[in-house]
Amino acid sequence: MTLPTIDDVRAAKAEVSRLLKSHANFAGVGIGRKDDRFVVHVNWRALPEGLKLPERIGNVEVTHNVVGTVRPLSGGD
Amino acid sequence: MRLQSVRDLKLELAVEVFAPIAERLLERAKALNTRLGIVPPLQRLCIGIGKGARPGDFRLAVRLQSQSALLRDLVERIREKAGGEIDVAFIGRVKPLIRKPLKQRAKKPAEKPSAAGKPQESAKGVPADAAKVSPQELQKLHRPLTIGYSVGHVQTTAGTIGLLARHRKTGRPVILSNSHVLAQSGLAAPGDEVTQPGKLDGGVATDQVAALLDFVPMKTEGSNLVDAAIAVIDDSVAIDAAAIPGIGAVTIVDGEPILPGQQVMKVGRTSAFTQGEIMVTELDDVAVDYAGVGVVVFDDQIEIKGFPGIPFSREGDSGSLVVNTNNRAIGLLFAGNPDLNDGTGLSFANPLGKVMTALDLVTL
Repeated sequence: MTLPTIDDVRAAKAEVSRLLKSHANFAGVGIGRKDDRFVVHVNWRALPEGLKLPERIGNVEVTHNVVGTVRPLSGGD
Repeated sequence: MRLQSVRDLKLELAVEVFAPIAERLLERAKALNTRLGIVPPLQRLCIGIGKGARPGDFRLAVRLQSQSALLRDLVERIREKAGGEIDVAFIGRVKPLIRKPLKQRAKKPAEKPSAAGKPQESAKGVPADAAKVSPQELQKLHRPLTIGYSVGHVQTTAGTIGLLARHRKTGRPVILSNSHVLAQSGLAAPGDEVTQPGKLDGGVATDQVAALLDFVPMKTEGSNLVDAAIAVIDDSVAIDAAAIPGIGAVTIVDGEPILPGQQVMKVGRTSAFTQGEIMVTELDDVAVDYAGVGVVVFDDQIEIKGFPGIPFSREGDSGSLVVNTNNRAIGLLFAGNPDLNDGTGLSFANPLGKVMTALDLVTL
C-alpha cells in the first residue's frame, strides 16, 4: 500500500470529523504520526460504546485515543 | 513559491521521500542482522524555508552536512519534487558554539531517577542548565521579569510568564500568558492588576508588575484558536527578555515547522524544565472545561506527550512557552490532562504564530 500524502491525511481528517464530530465523547481530531507515517489521530473523552470506529479512510490509518477531561492548567483552578 | 506551498512541500517530503528511505534502511539492517541507526544518514540533511528571489517569495532550503551518494540522490529527488525551486548548500558538521567549563568536560552526567523510578534517558537538545531550574525558584518574586516565572491576575490563581514581547499598536512591552492566567478567561477588565508571583504563590497587590491590556475573547459557540492575554509592564519594572532559565536564548521564526514526532521543551512555574514530543498537530475540536465560562472548543492545536516518563506540564504551567530543539518558540501551553498515560499526561498548546497575530505582538 502506498504511503498517504499529507493531502490524503488532511482529506481523511475532514472525513473523520464529519463522521464522528457529533458524538458526545468526541474530543478532537488531528494529524498524528505512527511508524514514520502520518495518520489521522482521534481523541475521545472515553471510548464510545456500540459505535464502530473507523480504522482507515482510504489509505490513511485512523488511531483512537482516550484523553479524559482536558482542563486549563493554571494553579488555582 | 508561497509560504504555505513550501510548508506543504516539506510535509510531503517527510511522507513521500524520507519515510520510505528510513523504512528501506531499517529493512536492510534487519536483513543484515545488524544494529543500524536509521536516522544518522538522514540527520546529515536538513530542510527549511528559505527566502525566494522577491519579498514574499519562498523556496525550500536544503542544507547538507555530508556529501554521500545517498544524500546526493536524495537532493535530486527533492529537487524533482519541488519543481527545481530549491536552495542547496553544504554546511558541514554543526557544533554548538559554547565552551564548557573545564570541570564539566570530563564529567559523565549522573543518571537521576525519574518520577516513575526509571533512569532518565538522554535526549537530543537537553540544555546543560536545565536541571538547575527549580519550581521553588520559579514561584518566587523575581526581578527582572523573566520568562518561566509565576504570574497571575491579582484575584486568582497562578500561571507562567510565556513571553516578554512588544505590543505593536502601543509600542509597549507586555507579558504574554494565557487569558485564564492574566484575564480570568475573559471575565477581567482591562487595567486589572497582574502580579509576579501569582496569587497562589503569595503575590499581592504590592507585587503588581503589569496591568491587563488585552485578551482574546473565548467563545462558547463555535471554535477558538488561542487562550491568550497580554498585560502592559509598568515602566518601573525591569525585564530580561533575552533568555529562558535553563533553556537559554530563544527565537521566533515565522514558518517554523510544527510536526508530529518533534521534541519540545518548556519551563513552567510548577514542573520547571520538562521535555515532550509533539503527538498531534492541526488538532481540531479540543474541548476544554473552563471554570465560570463553560466548555470552550479550540481548533488547530498542538498535542504534546511528556518525555521521558513524566508529564510535560502540570497545573500552574499554563502560559509556558513551548520551544523546539532548535530553541525556536512554537507554542503557548494552555491545557492538558496530567493524569493520563500512567502519569505521562497530555498537554495542549496554541501555535505561537496565531497568538502573536491575534494580540498584535512582535519580539522585543
